[in-house]
Amino acid sequence: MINDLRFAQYFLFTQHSLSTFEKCPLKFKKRYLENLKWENYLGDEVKKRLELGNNFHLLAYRYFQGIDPGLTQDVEGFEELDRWMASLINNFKNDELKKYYPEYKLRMSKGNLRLEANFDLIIIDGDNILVWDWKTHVKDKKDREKDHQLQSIRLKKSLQTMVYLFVLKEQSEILTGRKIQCENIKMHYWQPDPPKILAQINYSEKMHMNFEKELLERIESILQYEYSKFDKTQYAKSCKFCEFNWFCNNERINYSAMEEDEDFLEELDWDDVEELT
Amino acid sequence: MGLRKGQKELVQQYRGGYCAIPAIPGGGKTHCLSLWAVEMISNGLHKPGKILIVTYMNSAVNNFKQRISTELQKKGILGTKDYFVSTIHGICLQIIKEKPDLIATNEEFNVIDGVSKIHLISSAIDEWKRHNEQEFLLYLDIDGFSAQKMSNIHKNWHDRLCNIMLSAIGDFKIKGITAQRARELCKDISKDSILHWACQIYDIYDRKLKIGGFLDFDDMLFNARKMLLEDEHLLNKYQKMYSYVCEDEAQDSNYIQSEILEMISNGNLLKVGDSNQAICGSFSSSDFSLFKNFCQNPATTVYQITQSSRNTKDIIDIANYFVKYVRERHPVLECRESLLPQYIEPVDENDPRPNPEIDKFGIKAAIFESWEDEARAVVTKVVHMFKKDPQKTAAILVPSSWRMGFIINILDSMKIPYEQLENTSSEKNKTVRKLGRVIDFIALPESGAKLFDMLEECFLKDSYEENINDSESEEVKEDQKEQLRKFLKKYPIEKLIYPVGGEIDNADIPDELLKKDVWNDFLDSLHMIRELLEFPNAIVEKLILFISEKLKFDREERAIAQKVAGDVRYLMSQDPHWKLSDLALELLSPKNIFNFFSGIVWELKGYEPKPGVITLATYHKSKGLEWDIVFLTGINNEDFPASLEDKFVGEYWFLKDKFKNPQAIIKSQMNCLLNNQEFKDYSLDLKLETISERARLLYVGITRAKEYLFLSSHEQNKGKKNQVLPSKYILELKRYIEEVEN
Amino acid sequence: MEGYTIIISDNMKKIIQLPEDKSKLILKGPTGSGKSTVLLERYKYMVSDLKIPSEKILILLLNRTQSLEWRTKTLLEASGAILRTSYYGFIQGEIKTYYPVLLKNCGEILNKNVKPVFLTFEAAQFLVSVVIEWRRQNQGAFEGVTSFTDRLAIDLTSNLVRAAISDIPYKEIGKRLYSALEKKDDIKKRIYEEADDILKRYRKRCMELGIFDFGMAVELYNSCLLKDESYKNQLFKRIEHLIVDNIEECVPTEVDFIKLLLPSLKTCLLGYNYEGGYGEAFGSNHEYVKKELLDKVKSVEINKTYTCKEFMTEFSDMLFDNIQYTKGEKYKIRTEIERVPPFELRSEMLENVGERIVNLIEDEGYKPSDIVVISNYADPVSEFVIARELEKRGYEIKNLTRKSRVIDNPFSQGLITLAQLCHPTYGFMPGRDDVKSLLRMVLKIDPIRSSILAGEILSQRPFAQFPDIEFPGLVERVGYYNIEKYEYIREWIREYRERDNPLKINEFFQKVFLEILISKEVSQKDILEAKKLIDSAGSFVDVVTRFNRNASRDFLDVVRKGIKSGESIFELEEKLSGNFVLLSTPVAYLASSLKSKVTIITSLSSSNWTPRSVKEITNLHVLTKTWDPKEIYTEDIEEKNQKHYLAVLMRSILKRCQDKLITFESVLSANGYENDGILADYFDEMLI
Repeated sequence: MINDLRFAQYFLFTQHSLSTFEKCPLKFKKRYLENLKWENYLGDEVKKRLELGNNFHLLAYRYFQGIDPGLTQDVEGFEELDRWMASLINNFKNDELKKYYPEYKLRMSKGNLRLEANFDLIIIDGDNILVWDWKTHVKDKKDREKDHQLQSIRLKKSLQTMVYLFVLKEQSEILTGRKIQCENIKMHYWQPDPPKILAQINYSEKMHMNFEKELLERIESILQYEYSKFDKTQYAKSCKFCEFNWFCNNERINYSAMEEDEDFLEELDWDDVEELT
Repeated sequence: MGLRKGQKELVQQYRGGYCAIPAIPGGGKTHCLSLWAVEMISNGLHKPGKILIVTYMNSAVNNFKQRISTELQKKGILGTKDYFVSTIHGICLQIIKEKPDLIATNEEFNVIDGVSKIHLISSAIDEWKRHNEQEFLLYLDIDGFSAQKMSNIHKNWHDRLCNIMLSAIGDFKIKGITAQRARELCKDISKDSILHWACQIYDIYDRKLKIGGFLDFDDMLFNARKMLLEDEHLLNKYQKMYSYVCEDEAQDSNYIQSEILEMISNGNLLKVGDSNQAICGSFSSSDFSLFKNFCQNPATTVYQITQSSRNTKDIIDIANYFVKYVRERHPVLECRESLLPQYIEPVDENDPRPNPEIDKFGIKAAIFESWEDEARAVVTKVVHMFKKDPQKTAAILVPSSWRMGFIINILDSMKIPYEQLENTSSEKNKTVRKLGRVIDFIALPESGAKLFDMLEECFLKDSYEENINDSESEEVKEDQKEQLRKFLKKYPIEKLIYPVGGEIDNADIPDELLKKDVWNDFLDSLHMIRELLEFPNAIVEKLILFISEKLKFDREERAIAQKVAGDVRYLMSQDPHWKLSDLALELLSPKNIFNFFSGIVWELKGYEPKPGVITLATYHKSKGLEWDIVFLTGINNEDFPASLEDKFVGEYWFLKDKFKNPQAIIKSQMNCLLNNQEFKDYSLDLKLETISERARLLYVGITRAKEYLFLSSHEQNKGKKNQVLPSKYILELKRYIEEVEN
Repeated sequence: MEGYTIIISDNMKKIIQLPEDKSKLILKGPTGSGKSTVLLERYKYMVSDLKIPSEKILILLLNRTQSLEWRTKTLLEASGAILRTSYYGFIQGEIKTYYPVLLKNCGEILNKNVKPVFLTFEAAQFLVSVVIEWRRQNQGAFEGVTSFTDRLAIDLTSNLVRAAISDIPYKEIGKRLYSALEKKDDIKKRIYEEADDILKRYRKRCMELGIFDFGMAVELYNSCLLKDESYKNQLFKRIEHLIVDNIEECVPTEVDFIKLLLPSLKTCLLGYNYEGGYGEAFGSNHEYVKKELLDKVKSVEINKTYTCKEFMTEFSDMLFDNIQYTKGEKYKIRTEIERVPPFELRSEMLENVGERIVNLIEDEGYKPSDIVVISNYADPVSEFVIARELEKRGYEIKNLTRKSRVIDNPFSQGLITLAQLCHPTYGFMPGRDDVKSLLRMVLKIDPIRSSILAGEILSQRPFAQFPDIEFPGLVERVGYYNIEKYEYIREWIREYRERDNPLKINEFFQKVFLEILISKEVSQKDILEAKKLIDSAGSFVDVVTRFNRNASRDFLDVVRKGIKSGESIFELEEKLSGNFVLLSTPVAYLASSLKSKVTIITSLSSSNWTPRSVKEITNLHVLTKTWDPKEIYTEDIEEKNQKHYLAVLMRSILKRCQDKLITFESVLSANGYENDGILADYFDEMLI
């Protein structure tokens, strides 16, 4: 590579790329700097679920855009989608006073803070901004309260939360035409089936400052990272979930292990759509 | 300018309209036509368009171009804008490229080369055979043959059918009958009739041709004419483009070609030819009466060229004698008109370029026991002549190219320099063959035989002479390469090229080989061999260019290598099964799809006979050329039939009597069907045509010789069914020679 | 490439800083006048200063090269989604989002899924060619047509596209083409009928399945979405601003689309190069733009050219006039315009081009990236021959035109060979050369030993497979290297063949790539190639499977026949920004926004400079909106069109040439025929 993309001003960091770097800098390099995004070889079951999730996002998008979502019995996975859509519609009744921004993208570039966030839904309700994120591939584990609590904590601390809320606060003017206080921003992780808020985060000035600091640190550490010093052993625990396993370790890739990994499934989320066609 | 009778009139007087120049052999047609063009151009008389000169072979095209441009340069005119020299196919190609859509053809069409054409017809016949096994066997006279023999006959018949069918298809096309029309036509013909098969095979062949994106030569002629006829705009364009149209070798023109040139010329048409040299007749559609008629047209101004300074007076005499003999005493009455009463005159005493003179009678005739004897005697004679005068040029002419093989063997074994006048000649094929050898080896590098072949072609010296003080006999001298060959054949190649320890284990190498120069040369080439082997061969065109670079190809060779490289991609996309070894096979076959292009490249230099080098050519290819010494070989009754009882090329011994000459049958049936005529047996016509044409061919041969002329023939299988006897002509000429000599 | 700077004048600044409402403008200018720069700056100004939400601004560009330039040059501190796309990309997105609306309005689609599927060009051509080939072989279709099936397939699918972008009903394609023919006959009539029939069936089947190619997508968008009031209202609300560069290269329906948006827009800025219009082969229609768009919006002209010197402006304008209007003006030759006398052979010409480039770099101080070589073929042979000349001195040439095939990469070829070995039932026996290369690559053994082993593998019965290496004699000859890896692969293939169901070919490729082929020595380029193969296999299989075909097998077939490999945006970027000499076809060069200091034109006397627009089953001028269906397309019209095209093309190329123009030519073409194109004649007549 003659150009190291990290330093290209138009290269924006997303929650995915940041978390990939955290897991393994080499994986970050392969995926984002060398553009080696493998379409993962997954079992049919997982693929089907992913497809369902993607379709749900599309249907939800249409719903908030005021387009007939077009869900009919002919659609593959109709029953689940129908259930999910019913709970969506039930929970998000169209309110004339609110403004809905489905599938909304915000980008920023302030010094090294080059970030991009893709929101499933932003609702502007007066001075308040609400962010909603659909979680559709949570596994059908037994519905245990403890798991939920863990998950909620995990989501609150996640890079997604960090990137989304930080970018949103920074760019709120684009959406509303004025600066919005952190306290007026909330983020929800929501699953449609059974309908449930997995986590709710109330943003604060303090969080914002912390996030800024942490994001800047993370980005800077990526920018300063020297690949010649990459030490594989530090990141070995991710290897078995990694599609580059063979490349790095001459070991077969354990796809079923990948499927067990929730982080991995997260990454497969309704990923950023290339804007160039 | 040294212009003679006829030439002078042309250059000074011809400024438009119809004009014909009937010229005897050696009359300097190229010379005076070039001078005429130069005269016109230097005086601006050709404007607004260009002068178009259409001639037969690419070598002739280049000859014209060189002469005209040299003369123009002398007058200070540069550039080639004022004239265009081309073969008729070049013109047709140009016309079709103007708007291929008019004939529903993709602009990227290819003109099929001779080799691919045979492949294509052969596969069309195979396809046809699958549904017509019985018909295929119908004509065969196969009683009492072994299974082995039968299968040979089948193969033979299949091969013959290829040519028969191509010729029939050519006829169809020239007559403007499309495959579709042929299919309809054959509904009225019996399934047993060979014309019926021809229709079906035409249909299959045509489909394959079109799906392959090909036009053949007949398509080109036919379509070019069609386009000019139908498209006034196009015709106007060509009429404007060319103010004058000159047709060289007009005696070999065919109806369509004449029509095309007539249309383009818009009245300013100059034809140059010699009816007595019409030799493209019986199996193509050419018609030498076209030129005759043109000369006789009252609108045509005729300037005769009758003088020649090419030959000695003795040779002129024998040529004239032959004309006289044919006209007055030919055994077949109907063939006496095959040569017109045009007699060659020597030039005037004071001509700056007089006829050559030698101090003795330079013509001989001999008959041998066999072809082998004849060939050997001829070669011995040439060597002898060269020894006497190394500055002479000489040619051996053979009736058909297959006869060259044996002569080449003799020349090779005696290490006599020679040159072949064929696109398939080993000289012209050298580049392609080198590429072939390397690729063949790369495709199967463990083969010692292939390694040796490559070494011999590309890396080793022609011969390895032993040290002079080495007292070993002649036989051993030749042995160095042979030793290497034998060794490589047996020894595992990987141990030589990639030895495990990095060093060749000398203990394995025969001592006597280790000491030899050839072994050192082999070792020296190892580095390059590894480079060739290791070059990635996923992109074959790159590999070819790499070989061309490594073997230090010269200008012409590089042009050919680039052509091969350019075509490989196309070939592979046509057939994804293509492998390196297939490419090698194609490259190594003497008749390969690159012949045409190699021919063009090598002919750019033009052909100029070299002193001391024997030219080997067919009688046909000798047209327009001349040598000090000429050997006319194989004047037998098969190749030069002079009576209806003689053998004919188109007759096959393995066919039932009534089907002996399938080509004649097709012709007859076609004529009967298309013209609604009574069935007429054309085999007689065909025979008469053959006899006439062959007589002219011999005349062409005779008139090639400047100083010495040797006529020879042989007997073979005397008394057997397939016997070959000397032609009546050689007997007659031999008698004449003896008479003159005494 | 670099080397020219555009100075933003006050006039330009005014345009950039137009207010956020009621500012609709066409920015006219010749090549190199800085239009694109103004457009870019205007966009930045709109987002950063006027605070217009970026998702309200639609930017329509011609192609990826332009988009890439925008990406690298528009750095915004803050923005929402960036709506920057090609016309087709925009349509795809709209159809996907509004699919339910489309389904409601179009009765032909039977498959009612959440979203449709889009066909790639390759897949569309493959599907059409399958039908054509079958009909040619079995039903005598296209009798009398001399052309490859692949070519016919390309032309047929392009006809569908051309009709769609010109708003011509697909059912009328054949009729329209036939009735414009100057010479009509039954054969041609039947050809067009057959072509129509094939297209009709192909289209019907695709529609039923909800699978759209480019042409169908455009057609559906126009007929089912743009005619829908609710959709239109939403569209007007969503898009308030429009920026389009090079409107002269817009296709007619795109022009209509812009026209439709105009009244509801708050602002728009349309870049218009009145000297352009070279893209007619892709359906652009300059005439239509002039007729429909230019008078609808106020225009401002800028006309200083930054990309070439005055003499070149003069020369190129004169050449244009001479070609277009047969003016016969003369130009006094000067050293910056170098006409190399013709070489006899094309090969000589190419070698001399290479030498001249070395010369330019070493003696005249140019950088490789200052030089562009324009060739009508830009074929691999030209590329290799010139490349070898450059390599000797350590320089590189890159081909801007995508010409390389998937199988040209040894690594991708290795994947395909493994696919053949693993799927005997597909009936593709791998070639010996391929197996040999595979072995060399994975086992790292020399060419001879890999050849021996390849021979062994291919001679196994009933189908080629890796034999037991311990087989007497074999290991002794091949040696004991890498036996472990050999056994691993052998076992891998054996296991795979025992599977009940083969993997989809793209999944197979990926698995085999990661588990067998990849190693630390593999180069970055190879990995990317493999990735491209996997990706294109994926999209091919995804679509073709829906036609009830064994798409995995089909893909192997298509690949063997030599489909081109894709090009990632990364590679494109590398070509555009690296220090290489570039080789390009004229159109690919013009479609990029590249400029050069030295422009070398090869094969000046070739007739390929004036391609015919009439083909055996198509005519790009008849399948367009400005064509009157009652007219006959005569040869005079064709001649005029050809000359016009040549004039426009040459002027555009020359205006991007800053210092020096060098032309090369050869008497004979690559096939050994005499070159007789008209372009060289114009040069001859003009230069004195």
